[in-house]
Amino acid sequence: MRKAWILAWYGLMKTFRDKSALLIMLVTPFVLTLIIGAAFGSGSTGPTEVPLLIVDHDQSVWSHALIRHLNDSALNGIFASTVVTDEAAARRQVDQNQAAALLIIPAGLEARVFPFAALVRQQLGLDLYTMPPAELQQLPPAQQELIGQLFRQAQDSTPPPVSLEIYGSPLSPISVTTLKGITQGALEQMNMQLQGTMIVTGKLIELQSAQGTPGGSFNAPSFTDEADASDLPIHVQIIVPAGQAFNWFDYSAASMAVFFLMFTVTSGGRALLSEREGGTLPRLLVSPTPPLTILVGKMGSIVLIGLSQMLILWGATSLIGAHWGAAGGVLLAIIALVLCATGVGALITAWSRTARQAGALGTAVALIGAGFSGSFFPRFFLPTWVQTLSLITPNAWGIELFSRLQSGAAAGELLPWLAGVLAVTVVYYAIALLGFRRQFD
Amino acid sequence: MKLWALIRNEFLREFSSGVSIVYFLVLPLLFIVAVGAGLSPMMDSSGRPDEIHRPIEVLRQDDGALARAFVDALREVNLQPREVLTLTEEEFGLMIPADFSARLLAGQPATVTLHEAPMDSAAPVVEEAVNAARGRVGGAVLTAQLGVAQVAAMLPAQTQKTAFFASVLTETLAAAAHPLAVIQVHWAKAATSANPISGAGQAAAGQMVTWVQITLLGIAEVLVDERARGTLRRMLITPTRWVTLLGGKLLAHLLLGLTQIALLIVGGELLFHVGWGQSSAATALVSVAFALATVSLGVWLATLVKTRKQASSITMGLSLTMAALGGAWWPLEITPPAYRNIAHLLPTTWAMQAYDKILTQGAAVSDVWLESLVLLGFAAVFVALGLRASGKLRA
Repeated sequence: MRKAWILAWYGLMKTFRDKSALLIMLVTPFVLTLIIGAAFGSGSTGPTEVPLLIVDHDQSVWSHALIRHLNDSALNGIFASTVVTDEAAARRQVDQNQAAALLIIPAGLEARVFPFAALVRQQLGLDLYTMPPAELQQLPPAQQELIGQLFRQAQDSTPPPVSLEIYGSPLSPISVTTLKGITQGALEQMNMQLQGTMIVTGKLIELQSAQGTPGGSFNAPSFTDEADASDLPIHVQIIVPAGQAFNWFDYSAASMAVFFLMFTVTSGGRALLSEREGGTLPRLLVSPTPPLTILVGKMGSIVLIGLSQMLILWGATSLIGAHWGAAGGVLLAIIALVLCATGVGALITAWSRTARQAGALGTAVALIGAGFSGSFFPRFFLPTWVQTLSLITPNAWGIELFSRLQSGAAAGELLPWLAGVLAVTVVYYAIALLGFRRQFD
Repeated sequence: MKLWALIRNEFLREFSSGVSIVYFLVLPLLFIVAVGAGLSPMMDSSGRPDEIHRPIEVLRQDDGALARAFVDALREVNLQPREVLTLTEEEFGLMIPADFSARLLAGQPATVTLHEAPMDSAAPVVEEAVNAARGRVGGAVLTAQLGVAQVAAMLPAQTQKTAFFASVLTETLAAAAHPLAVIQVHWAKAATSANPISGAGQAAAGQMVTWVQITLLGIAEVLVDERARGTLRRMLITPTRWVTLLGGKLLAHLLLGLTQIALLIVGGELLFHVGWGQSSAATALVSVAFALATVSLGVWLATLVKTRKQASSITMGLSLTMAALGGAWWPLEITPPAYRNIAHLLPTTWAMQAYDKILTQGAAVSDVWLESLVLLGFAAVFVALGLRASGKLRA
């Protein structure tokens, strides 16, 4: 046992003295996590400060309200918008990818949104938006009668919807989708407030006529956006599972660590074959040390290296703000995962003829496992069948385990998943053992 | 002739093992499948937002009109509500309490509960949609409440007020079904390309950049290995000039990279229907410029490292890092502006930008000249740095 431990410890020390091994084991995953942290630090995956151009052909209170809404602080700076007048020039800017999108508000928005005000302005030259209600009541009876007629005319007609155009750069499809969604939401809200106000006003006039109390007030509708959202009588309570929402930075810290753990274990296996090719392994075998002790020592060193790598990456990424979950659970998951990954390393070593073959195969397995398990993007984006199939790789089990821990699962809740990892590990080692017997007997 | 022999030798060496084909073609194509599938939910709905229908379970404990209106509103904001008797933990779920309509009709606030799916990055989208539905129904309720306040003096009885409130609310919800405006999306320069970049398109360009970079930077490993084995020194004894030797290696790897690009483009076209064929001249120009920049970086790297193992680690680490930073793994569009600016210090970013233009806009040579020029600039700088330190390779 002591001999196995010496062999394992020697392997660990040798690896940690090798600068190029440290580069792949620790520096690259850490740097990649930093990059992902810089790209998606807050966990948000949406665009920010999208260069947006707006052409406002309507120049009404409604178009101005819509533009204000797009610049609202509640949107957390999604758009960096500029209102321009030259539509052709703005289109050219989008063509040249100098802006992500151009929003064109057509003339006629006001006539659709609030036809009553448009009719009153057109026929009487009065501006209902700026006119105080009291002044409206002091108008001559003939004008008041005409206003009533115009109101009914506006209420009875439902003009067809106007068409807003988004001229988007195909290089910014996500920004364009976001713009469309937000504009649509603002128009919906505008519509609701407007229709409500018109209906209330209509009913008020009806009541006044019925009760013979003429001279009721009319308040022009206006558009209020997020600033008044707290006044809405419906509240939404959001419950996040186990209190922790998805965060791409946390996810990447774990998935990158698992990805590069696979490189470590496969290169560990390659080292064993290199020793055989270099003659150090046969020399060890002629010493009074049982072959099993040597194998346990060599595999033990890969386990130690993998454990050290994962523990260092856990500590280092935690220092820069990554959340891995409850310490006990993380520790258990790391141990299980390193044993499982080492099984893959053993499998490749056992069935490869040369160190070069093991190296190439190991890298391919590490990369394929990472690609199909979700190391480069959230795993749940993958089709279900790929998610299921990928469970033959340690990468997938690692991401599943750490995702659960990151969303707040306790160590006890991991037991079914740990059992799964254990089962896969046993299979790896069983197949590896067959290969070792074939190779080293 | 010597140059040809050097190129032939490099090709023979590269493909001496079947494993090389795996790295050269099979893995990149597999990665296009995996990454394309991964990016698809984020990118393939773009341009067709009306078709995004995220499923959400609804536990509706209230059979009142307002609860039903809320479910309808969810549908209007492009969610896909499915009424259930119990919410499951794996899905997004909304619980509408039994007293929802009664409270709102009585002028009291009501609360719905949104249960988020675990570890799902769609959470902000679903939250936004539920809030939009809340704005729709809540806005109607608020307007009706304000209306009741306005006519309060004229309707003294509570029953009258309640009837007025209900009628305003119903009519408002019905009237708001007629939209004020429709939004049409037109894509700039989309005459030759019907759609913006898709998940498969982004993956095809991104994975090509990633894997070709590994091949091209691989020249560092080859040069360091030859230096370590002494083959470079031995070749210099022959009547072959150092420039020919280094140029031959560089040209061979450049051709290897370009061959890989050509194969991946054909593979992308045939297997994933990625629209590469729109501007062959532009694709060729960008590819040559990118390959030159990367292979030159490889030569410079070879002068900086001592062992083959170091060269191998740096090649892999640098390839992955530069690919990730440069927008080969995810679209730079979703990253902050500062990140995007810094990323432009890398050749991968310029290559991705040019490839995206070709894929989405059918860009011609005149549209990608800037990116190509910048890439050639990178190549010039790296070649100069490499040549300056090339003495180390002969040592």
